Amino acid sequence: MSGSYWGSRAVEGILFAPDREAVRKELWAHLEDRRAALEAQGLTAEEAESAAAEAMGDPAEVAEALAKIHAPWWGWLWRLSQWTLALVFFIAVVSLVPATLNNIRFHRNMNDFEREVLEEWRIEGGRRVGAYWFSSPGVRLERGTVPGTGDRDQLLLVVALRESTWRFWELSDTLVLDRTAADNRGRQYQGCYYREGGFYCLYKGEGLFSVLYEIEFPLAEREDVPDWLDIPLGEGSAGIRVDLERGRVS
Amino acid sequence: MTKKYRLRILRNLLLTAILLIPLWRQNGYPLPTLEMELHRWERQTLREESEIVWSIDQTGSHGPKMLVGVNRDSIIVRNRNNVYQCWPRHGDRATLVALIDRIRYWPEDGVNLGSPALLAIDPPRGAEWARLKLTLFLEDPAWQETYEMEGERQGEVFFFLLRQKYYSSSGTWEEEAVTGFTSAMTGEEALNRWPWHLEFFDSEGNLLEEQFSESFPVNGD
Repeated sequence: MSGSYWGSRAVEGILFAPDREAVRKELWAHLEDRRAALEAQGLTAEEAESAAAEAMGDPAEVAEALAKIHAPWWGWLWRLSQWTLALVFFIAVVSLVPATLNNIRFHRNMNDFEREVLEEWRIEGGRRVGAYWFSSPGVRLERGTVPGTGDRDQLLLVVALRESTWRFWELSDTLVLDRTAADNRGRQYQGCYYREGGFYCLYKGEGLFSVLYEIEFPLAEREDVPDWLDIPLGEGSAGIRVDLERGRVS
Repeated sequence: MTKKYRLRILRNLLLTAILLIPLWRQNGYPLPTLEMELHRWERQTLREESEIVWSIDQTGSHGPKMLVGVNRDSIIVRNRNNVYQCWPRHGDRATLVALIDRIRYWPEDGVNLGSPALLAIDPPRGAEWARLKLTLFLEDPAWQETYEMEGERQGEVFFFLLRQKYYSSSGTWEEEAVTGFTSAMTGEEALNRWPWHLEFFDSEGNLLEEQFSESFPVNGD
């Protein structure tokens, strides 16, 4: 019996082709070692190959034993997972790359304001409201362009607000709505109104677990900067206080 | 070899899941059921979680899919196109709510109509049946028609379907009036612009509660 015939018969029970090939190579390596040893003892190449094959045992019995060990299911599942990954990767590239480029262009256009930062406040702490954690990266007093109004020399108090949750599928870009904000001087600011006496909320972008807003309050003069601001959240009565004097969120 | 494949399969599944997240995000994180989406919206807008009191799924017949949930002070109507309406819940009396989408019904063979429908939430205790009279109208040309609907008890609410009277003719004033009604329905204030009269009765026919819209004619006006 030739070595190649023995090798082919011994692996014919392995149904998953890559496994079959891998095992066949391994068996062939063993066969070759035996053949080389027998040749070294003085047998001819043909006799050594045949004797090596005989010594490896009955190929039918070996095939049966190997078939039991190498069930095809795992191999097929692996192939399926490979194809699935490839398909999802292809869909992701085709869908996400153009959308991401569009997003970058959109945000670049939206955020292209000329502004001068006059003063900054660092704000610490945070507060849990519903399923979200709210914190503030900081507050800035700026002078510059107000989008959509044509004003180029407007004083603006810009409150950055970060909304975080581990449930990234529940991040919302509509959390600060058109309700009324208030400050320590009793002034009320009407939402979605980009003039003095109002405020406007800009959605600045998101990470996987957080969303950043910037809430802009047009002011008449620098002395109008309040000690704290109560900013409404959601549709009910929830809100958050950003305290500039104490540098805290509560 | 089995262990090798297990590890590889696990790795591939993990990578697939990671790649699916941005795709899921790009589509707005759709959730499996309308109810899950409604409750998510409630959490996002910091509302109290509502209890679902009514639902319909006519997607198989090209109809709507809607949910109605109630919490302490509001009634929320949501359809599958991500449209939400919020109605104030009266609590001390029933609240009449107009549904966002038309409901499909089949008045006779081969005819498939979409008509406005309304729900009465929080009917009085002991109410066995209910009646709603609603007047649809046009101003130019002057046209009006009053529809009397018997409420169908569906769980804790009464369901009213406006059955059109002139559907066999096309392009009727009725269809224009129906369209005007459904497109204007954004809340309680809008509903009160149409005259309606709602009554609840017990099993013996005694009147338990009645309500009128603000525009309902009084004293024969």
